[in-house]
Amino acid sequence: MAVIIERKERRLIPNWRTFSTTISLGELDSSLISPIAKPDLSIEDYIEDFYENETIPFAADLISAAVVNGFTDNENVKNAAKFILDRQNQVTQTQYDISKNILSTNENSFECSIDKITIKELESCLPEQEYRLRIQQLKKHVIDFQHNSIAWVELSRCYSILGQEKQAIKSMKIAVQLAPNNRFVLRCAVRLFSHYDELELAHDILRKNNITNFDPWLMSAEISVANLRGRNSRFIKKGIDLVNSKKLSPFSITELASSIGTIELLSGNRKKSRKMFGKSLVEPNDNSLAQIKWVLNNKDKSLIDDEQINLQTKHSFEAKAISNFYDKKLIDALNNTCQWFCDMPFSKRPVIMGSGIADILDNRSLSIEFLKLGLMAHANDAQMLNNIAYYLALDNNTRDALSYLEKAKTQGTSKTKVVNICLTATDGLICFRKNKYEEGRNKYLKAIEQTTSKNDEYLHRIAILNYAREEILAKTDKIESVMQLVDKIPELDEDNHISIKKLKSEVTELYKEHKQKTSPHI
Amino acid sequence: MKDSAAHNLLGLTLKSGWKVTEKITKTANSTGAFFSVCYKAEKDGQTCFFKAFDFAKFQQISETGKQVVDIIADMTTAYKYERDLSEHCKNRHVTKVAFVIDSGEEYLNTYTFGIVPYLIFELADGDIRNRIDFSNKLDFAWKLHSLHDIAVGLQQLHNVNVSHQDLKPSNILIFNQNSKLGDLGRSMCKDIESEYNRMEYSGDWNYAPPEMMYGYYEKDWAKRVFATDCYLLGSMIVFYFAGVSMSALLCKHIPQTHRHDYWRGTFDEIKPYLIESFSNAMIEFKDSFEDDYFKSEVSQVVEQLCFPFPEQRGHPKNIVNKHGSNFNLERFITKLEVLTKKAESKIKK
Repeated sequence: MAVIIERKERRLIPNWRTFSTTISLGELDSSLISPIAKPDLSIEDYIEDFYENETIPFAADLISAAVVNGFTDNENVKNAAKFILDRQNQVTQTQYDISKNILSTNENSFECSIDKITIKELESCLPEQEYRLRIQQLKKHVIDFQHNSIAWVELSRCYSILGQEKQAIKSMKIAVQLAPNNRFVLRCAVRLFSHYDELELAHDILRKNNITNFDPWLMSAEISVANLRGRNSRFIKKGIDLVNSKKLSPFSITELASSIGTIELLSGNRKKSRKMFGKSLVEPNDNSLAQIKWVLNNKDKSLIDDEQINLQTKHSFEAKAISNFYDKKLIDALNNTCQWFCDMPFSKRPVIMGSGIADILDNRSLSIEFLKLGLMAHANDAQMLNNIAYYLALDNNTRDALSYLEKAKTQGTSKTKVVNICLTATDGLICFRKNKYEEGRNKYLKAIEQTTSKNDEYLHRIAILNYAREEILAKTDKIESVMQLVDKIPELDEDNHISIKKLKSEVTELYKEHKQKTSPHI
Repeated sequence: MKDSAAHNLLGLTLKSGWKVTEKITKTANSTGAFFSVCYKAEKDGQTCFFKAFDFAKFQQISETGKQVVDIIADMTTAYKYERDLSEHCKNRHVTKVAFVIDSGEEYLNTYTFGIVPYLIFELADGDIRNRIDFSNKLDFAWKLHSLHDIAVGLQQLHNVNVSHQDLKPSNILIFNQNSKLGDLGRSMCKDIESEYNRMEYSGDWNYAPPEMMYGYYEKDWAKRVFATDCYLLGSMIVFYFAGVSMSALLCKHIPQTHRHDYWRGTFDEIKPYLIESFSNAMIEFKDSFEDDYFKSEVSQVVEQLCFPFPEQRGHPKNIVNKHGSNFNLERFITKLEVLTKKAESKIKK
């Protein structure tokens, strides 16, 4: 049995991308909206000198001054840049590159290549060799520039993508030591530490840091981590004041407002929650969009008018995946999970969701491929190993299924109660496929019992349907009794039970076929 | 201009014996105060650079709303400061700086503003921009030699409590095969009272070190000004080999929203991003060299001189040592001398 959509609570833990991507998304901009005074600067002398001499050094001196002080749109500067480009053999590479930048017209355009990725390119989403090469380069870089905290963060990211937890944490701790007040470093550290369930560590670097008092991006992360730890955040009131202060740009407060909105909703303050989510959606980022989509589909469907949410924000792959999934646009959702995975290859959620959607679309080999890629960052993740075993067993590859299942049982990490129930059920499935019906039945019944005691309706139904399918396929004498359980599962129209609906229709179909074969007159 | 004595000196022999032989437009030696008119002048068979202060210029400047008396006071101060500073250095073993070799004033009674104070300097062949060739690999040894001269000149100034502050290609003057620092006009000197001493940075903002661009100023005068000179020396090395200033190379690697003209946070907040940009700038700078030895040695010098945080600038041994200044250039001078010799011997082979 597999859980195809991670049904974990979602909080505004910062998303972690490369430094350059994070900059391009605007998350490292200054939060203030006050204008800045530009010093009174001039490049007139340099222009005059260039035209009087018309040689490369004078042109280079002019473009240098222009680049430093933002005069690159000046026509004379462009002339100097052209002058340099026309003499490619006599100039340095740096002079050439800077001149080219000056004459380039689309320097500010942001084009995201991930947007165009589809599920067909899934395999190329995680170029392992490239990450290994990048690690080599970064290791050399941090030897040469030991104080470069950004490089340590990038190194940590590459390690986490390849599942090297210890190295990832060590590199990140160095980065935090080097730049204990830097937004990028702290947000990435929070994401990494949360990723490895080091919530206390993630919380400590924020709540004890003075900068959290002023930075909305850090305050948001602190509130979310505190909530995940079951603690009250002392920054909520400050956060509300900051959101209402109008001193910060709407984009700067999007995550903070969304974080507070989530806490208010969980505390039952629906009205305050709606207000906060409203503010977070004035200029949302990918994370606040994904959060509202999660809230609407898992907590409160009518909190905000879904129609008003614009998903055209950069890198909003998670929000689009959730949105398209619940709108039953499964192919689009699958492509979105693939983009989401490319964007954050260390993240488990796109893997679980992508493989689940592929299964709903009856493409089990794609499900397995997705999960195997996920194992790169989570080599021993019990849920992923279980899901692979489940899909392999469904294809009657019991030998490989058993090996994944054994690995999940013996070495598996993140073994929650839900995962343990799944492992028992998958064990049952493998037994059925190996014609050990009694053993399989016992395991399924044990799993079903566990779902009852856990009071988890979704899991309970999934377990029953999986079990029923196996009894039908095995043509045992327990079919009628298990079908009575299946009949108790209502015809759901809830969007978030799409996987149950699919399973139920499969089982019903199989049962019909079985009945037709056994009672041809019906 | 017709009514300005400073613009009408050509052909005259001054009371001091200098004969003004040629009016020059903007070229070598011509930087500095914008209210000056430049000539070549001869005396005793020696041709020199003649800088006449155009006091009539106050008419144009006063149109901008400044009080005439203030403008004249500024001009007088500038003239006296450059003259006195030059005198201050000349008598204290400073050899790598283009000095004022004579000064005086001439009165031409046919003009409304007849008084022309003047300074006479050694005449250079040109500034570094007239000499440098980025495509000529044989120039390598000469470049290092020139940079050694500049470092020596700066250290000589530092030794007499003077910070140049305005080191840039136009202020590196060429005299045959040697280089000297020109234009002390914006220098700071602890021993001579000047408005520049009260400024955080008196040089050209197009070459300013990153801390100045982001509005961070060290309070200690010596630390601030000598750290600036260190950066400017490193920036000159970058110009010699990469063909652009260090600030331009750094800006190339700074994302738009983190540039000094966009950034609204503090210098401390930008520091991690500056190191990242600086690291990438240094990687690019290293690509300017083909020879691994020079790549490593010269890059190391630049890295130490141009480190974006002033307190970490300078030779590591000086930084660690509690005595003396972080910004003492002696170790760099030695390194540049060794590198010059190695480059020269490579050419001979």
